[in-house]
Amino acid sequence: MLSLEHELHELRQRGAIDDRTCAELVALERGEVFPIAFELRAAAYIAVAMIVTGIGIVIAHNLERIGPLAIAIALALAAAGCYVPAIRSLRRNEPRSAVGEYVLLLGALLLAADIGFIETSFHPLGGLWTLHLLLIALVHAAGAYIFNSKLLLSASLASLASWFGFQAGITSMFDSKPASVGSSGLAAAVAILIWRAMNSRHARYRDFAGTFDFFIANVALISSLILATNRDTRILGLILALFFATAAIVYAVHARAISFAVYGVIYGVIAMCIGAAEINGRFAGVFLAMLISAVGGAFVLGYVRQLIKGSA
Amino acid sequence: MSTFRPSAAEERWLAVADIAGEKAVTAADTGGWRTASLLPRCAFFFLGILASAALFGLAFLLSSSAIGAGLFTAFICIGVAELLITSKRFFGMGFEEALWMAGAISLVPVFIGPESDRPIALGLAIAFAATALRLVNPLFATCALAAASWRMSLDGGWQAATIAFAISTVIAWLALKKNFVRPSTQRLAQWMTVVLPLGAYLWAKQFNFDPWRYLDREVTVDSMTSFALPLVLIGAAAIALTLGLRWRQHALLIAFALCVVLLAIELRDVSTLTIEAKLIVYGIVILISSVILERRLRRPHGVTSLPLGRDSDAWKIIELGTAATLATSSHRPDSTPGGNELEQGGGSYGGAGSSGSF
Repeated sequence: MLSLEHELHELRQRGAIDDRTCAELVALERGEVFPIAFELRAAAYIAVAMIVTGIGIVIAHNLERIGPLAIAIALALAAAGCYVPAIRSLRRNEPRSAVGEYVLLLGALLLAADIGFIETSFHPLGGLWTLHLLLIALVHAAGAYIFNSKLLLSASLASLASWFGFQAGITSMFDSKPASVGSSGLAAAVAILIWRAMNSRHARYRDFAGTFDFFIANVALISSLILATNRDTRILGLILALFFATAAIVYAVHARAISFAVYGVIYGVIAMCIGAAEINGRFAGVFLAMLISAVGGAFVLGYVRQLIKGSA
Repeated sequence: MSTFRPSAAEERWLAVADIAGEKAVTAADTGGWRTASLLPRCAFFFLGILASAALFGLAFLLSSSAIGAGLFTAFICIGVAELLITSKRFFGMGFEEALWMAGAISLVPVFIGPESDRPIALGLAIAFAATALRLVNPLFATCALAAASWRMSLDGGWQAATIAFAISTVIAWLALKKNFVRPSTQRLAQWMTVVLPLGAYLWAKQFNFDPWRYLDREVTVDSMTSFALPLVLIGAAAIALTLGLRWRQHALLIAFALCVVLLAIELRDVSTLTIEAKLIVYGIVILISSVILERRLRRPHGVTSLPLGRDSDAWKIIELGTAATLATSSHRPDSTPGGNELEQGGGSYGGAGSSGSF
């Protein structure tokens, strides 16, 4: 087995790391400490995905046999059961573990499934049925703020984006117009931006900023690219994509977050390629634009990476 | 100071920078070699592939010859990649890896005709293997193995391939005990620890391989495949778990998880439960096991569930993305009031992730 113990001791002698850090890292190198937190998180995620998928099939296949009321009650009870450990941790003022976070996510997903099921079976919202997505987003958001959970916030933001999509009359990505998909995505990005601004006033939830930023950047950039795939909105989509890509790169430098530089460069390069195909329909021109934008993108990413490392 | 690739000492310092932070290590330690974390590396790799593909397309349009375009692309891509490695001291940056791989693959049409699968498979295997050797990259080594497997399968060499993969698995697992000098060599061994047993299984299944058939000719192939493979997988899982915990090797724990998944696939017909019941039951078992292990192992020494070490950006993004994916179900027009509320084969309820495409 590879051991970097010698190098770590050298770093400590130089004063590059303190005694405590050195001891912790050496213990890891020697195998005196063997963390399996990553494996447990991965297992918990897979388990949640399996359970949620299985329940989806059970509902679809057994509605007649079990009955809608029984299914709705069973889902609510299962969801409540998953919330119990999180509530207990909250009352004891204990931090939740990574696996506990996934149990909470499972509870939230089951609750959302229940809300969706009740709406589909009993139609309490009538013609305003799409509001159930907004309700799900609100429930997840409440959970995120009560339990201080980024995963629930992520689920809430995804549900909010879905609601915007339904408001624009989108039923699926494949039978909808790119213009409506793109514009509803941009509206969702603006809504998340406003939410982020409101959230930043509360010091306790400042950690949520990264999750908001992740969604704002990706939803805005993807929506712009979707607009760019439509002949009628191509120019607007390309301008917006390049604008958002530049904004993401500037933000990456400002916040020293390389991931945003990656989003900006990758989406920007894709936008340039779409633009080249629009302006010059010939293959040679498109290939040349692809080559220039890919190499240019690599230079920009490398430069931003150096800037971030230099300012760290 | 080496120019061809980092020396063992320089590579070790790069690994130290990864665990102790880049600021702790000086350029003199690493010999000025530069490496990137997972997310930028993937982005650089994507850009490198895009640039290489565009270059090949451009050369092909101008020359109307796949061989000419291949030679030109290989010359430029491998040349630029070598320049980046030797003068800019790139090591695992992504861009030079993409260029080297694309350059090597561009040479495939130069040496072989497009008519036959055999030379294409062999050419790809050689191209990936050359890239893997030059860059000491386990991903390309895996691709080389896959291409070599394809080539062997064309001649029906499943028996030899399964045995070769199974023996290589044992060697790879035992090799993890070795005191590696270079982190890249250890990484290669760790990848192989997971990839080789999967390869052995796929070979065995794809060609209905039965290793016991040659020991006991009385037993039919069908009955043997239903017994032998699960037994082998149970044994492999137990060994991987034991060695993984004893030798403190995450790769062996992943190999254990892989064996368990393959075992579940093999034994899928043993239980009469429906697919949805299996998903729920297995999911609950995994979740409860995770919770119990997580609680029992909250200790500062030994095998621990405490989150130690740094969380990478890539993992944070994957975690947020997957939560969002689970939360978003597919919505269909017939889920509107008055429509057909439920679809066979999957629901369309908000938040359940039950998209109907199971």
